[in-house]
Amino acid sequence: MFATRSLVVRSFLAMFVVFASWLALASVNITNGQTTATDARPADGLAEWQRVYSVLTFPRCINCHTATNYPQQGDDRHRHFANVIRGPDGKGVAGLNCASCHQEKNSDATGVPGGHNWHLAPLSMRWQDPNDRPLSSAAVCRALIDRAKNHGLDAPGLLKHHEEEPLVLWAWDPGRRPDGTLRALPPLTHVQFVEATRRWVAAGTPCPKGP
Amino acid sequence: MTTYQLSVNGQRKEVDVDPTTPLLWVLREELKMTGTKYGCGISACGACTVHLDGIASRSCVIPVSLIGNRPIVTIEGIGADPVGRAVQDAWVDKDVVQCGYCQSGQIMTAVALLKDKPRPTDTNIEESMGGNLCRCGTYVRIREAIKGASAQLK
Amino acid sequence: MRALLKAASDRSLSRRSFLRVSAAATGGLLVSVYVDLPALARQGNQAPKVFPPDAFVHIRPDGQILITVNRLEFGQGVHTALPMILADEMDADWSQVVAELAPAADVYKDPLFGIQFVGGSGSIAHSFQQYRELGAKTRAMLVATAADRWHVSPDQCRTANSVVYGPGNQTARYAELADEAGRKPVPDKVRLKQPSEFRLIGKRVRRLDSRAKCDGSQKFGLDLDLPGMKVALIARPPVFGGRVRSFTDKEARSIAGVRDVFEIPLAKGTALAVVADRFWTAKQARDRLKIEWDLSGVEHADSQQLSTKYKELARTTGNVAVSNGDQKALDAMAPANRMVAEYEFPYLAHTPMEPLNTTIRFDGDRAEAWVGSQFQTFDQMAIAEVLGLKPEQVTFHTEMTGGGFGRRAVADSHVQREAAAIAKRLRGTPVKLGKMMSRVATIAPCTYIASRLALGGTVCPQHGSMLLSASPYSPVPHLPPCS
Repeated sequence: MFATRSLVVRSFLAMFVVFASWLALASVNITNGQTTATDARPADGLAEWQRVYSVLTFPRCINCHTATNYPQQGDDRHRHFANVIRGPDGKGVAGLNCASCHQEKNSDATGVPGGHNWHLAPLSMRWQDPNDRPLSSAAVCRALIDRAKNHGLDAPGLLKHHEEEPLVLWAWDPGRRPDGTLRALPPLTHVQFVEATRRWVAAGTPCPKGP
Repeated sequence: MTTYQLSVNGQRKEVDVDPTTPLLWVLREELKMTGTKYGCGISACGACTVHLDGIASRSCVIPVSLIGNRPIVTIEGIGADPVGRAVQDAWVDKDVVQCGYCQSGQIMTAVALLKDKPRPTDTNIEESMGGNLCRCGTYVRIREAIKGASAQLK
Repeated sequence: MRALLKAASDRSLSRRSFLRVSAAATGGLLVSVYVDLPALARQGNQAPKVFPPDAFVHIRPDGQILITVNRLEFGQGVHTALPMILADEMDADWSQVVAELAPAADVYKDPLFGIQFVGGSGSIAHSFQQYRELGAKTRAMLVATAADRWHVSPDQCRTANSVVYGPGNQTARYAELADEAGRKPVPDKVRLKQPSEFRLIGKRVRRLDSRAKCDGSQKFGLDLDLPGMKVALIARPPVFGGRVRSFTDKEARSIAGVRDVFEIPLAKGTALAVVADRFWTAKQARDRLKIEWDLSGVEHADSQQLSTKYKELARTTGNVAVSNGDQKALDAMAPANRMVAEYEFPYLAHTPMEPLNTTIRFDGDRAEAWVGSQFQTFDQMAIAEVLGLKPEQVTFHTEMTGGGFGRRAVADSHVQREAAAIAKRLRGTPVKLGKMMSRVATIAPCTYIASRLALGGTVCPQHGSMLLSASPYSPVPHLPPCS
């Protein structure tokens, strides 16, 4: 669809898509009542990104988007116990795969979370530095939209990922901890998260400036 | 209580248990197979390791309801496998065990490692075996025995 | 007769019936006269220790030699080492030797301490002579038997690998001789080997328990399964000394397979016991208990206060245990040249891999217990006390155990007392108490390796010597380096 040769034509088409999306959204009322699409401005794209960022850096998500060879666990994001490590494909190593404990569903009776194809996000999708500190909003934003890093996802692809990927959905159904309490949920509902992503995408996936 | 059909060491077994019952307790109490051990109950120590569809798995946190027809192999059955037998023989040859309580899990994890990496390096061994705890500290001999089994299987 | 022989060679016999068969059977070697230990004879008026060898060695008709070990095996290897000692003096075929752990009985008490226990690296130190003499005397009786048959002198015979060789071509296997040898008198004195004659002692020998521990067949205490057995778990107070004030167990009891929920005394305070058909049932029931704890009697320990107190104490002058170097010269040195560091060790949980456990069946006038016990004498007494029995009314089996590291060396037998309290309530039913982790996934309240503080200092002028002071229970810490 965008297979044109010249940069100018591509830019024009991109702007056209954004304009068309804006027009399409213009008549939609957002159910949470916080904003309506008719109010959306490019600067609001950055605000939407901040809301997306607040979810991405929540423990239920960021614990598997590490920059190291191990995952984290818990709301305090400590290093995952039992010496589990990333392994070549983010699935652990022989004898200690993620699947050794994490099954297709949460095991609430023992406190072990589960979801389809449990594994670490690749290092290209890290949202932390090697000292386990979350990266800045600008840095995570840049990483998210970099197709060389995000396995070739374009903006609609990102939206679909946030909508449908089982491990993303898991963050809103994370099961019980070993002590029986429910794991903390991200600051937005999944519906809100998808909406924020949609509007951020519609605004052209703007990223904050800076490091 | 629900009835489940399980494949354990190549045999069909039927059990009638609470769906949340971990595989560990199904093995130990319903099937009276006590070779798989309880050490912590929270998948932190590895004493409960079995193979589930070929993957070394911690049976203390896997509810029986999630197993389906995936074949289960335990320490009681691993000797029928050539790699399993080589590992057990190497363990005896090198006098690995002390109290022995962790060793069922150690052996099951070692077999999974050797099936994936027949010539494991020290790093491979540490990465794979690092989650199996041994309070007696037999780690050095475990490493020797894994290399011994690897040489035996050449 | 055949039935008795078969029974004697059936390894799955419970120990109680094994001892009965030993006493009655004519198959196998029974050495039934008592042995004096020279060490104790030296103690003057003290009555000599009594060790009937039939309690230690059993030669089966098929040649297998069962040696009874008067200790707990929990990794340290005594299950192999003591049989090695006996088998060496006996000239037994090592490939035929199997071992078992002794039940609680007077005859298995430590020869020096007079209680049945394991610890302090005492197993070999205290039983070396004992097991050597048992082996040597058994050999002597076998040789005497063969010598009689061949009408030769015992001095003309030699032994190797469970065979007696006569001066001519005569040979006889121990298993053939055992029956008759059992009727020979046990010699008072016996020649022990010179160290140069040892074939097993001091040599590289593989453990007897390896294979079983590698193929899942070795049973530990926690693996015990008896007909009609129930499993008990305990919901403990969050701190030592807490008591149950009130509880609601309706939800817990609604789970199918839960048998009972009731309060039991602890060493300090009280707790709730949950009894069920299965571990998972008991665990789920325990998780659903709602308990109000009375913590009013609890000692208010404060880690910070303890730490401060340790630091103060470390700086006071105490009794000098060891002094190396020139204290005066050190005192004369400038304070700028001193470097002091503190090394603080927290309370440490021992965490043996096998959770503590005890199985008891109480039948009113007697009881039977199965315990991975480091202090059999004390544990047997404690169980008897709780059940209102005499110790000898408690048949006490020692189980193969998954590690101790100090956790099982608890002289108040608190786990056994808890189990006995539960067994008392469930009279007639075997109950296995497992000291399993709670859902909160913490190490269950246990005894700890004591916290301790060490104070080390270095004096680092070019010609200074080292000053080191340490608290009594600490290891010597690394000295801080000069930089």
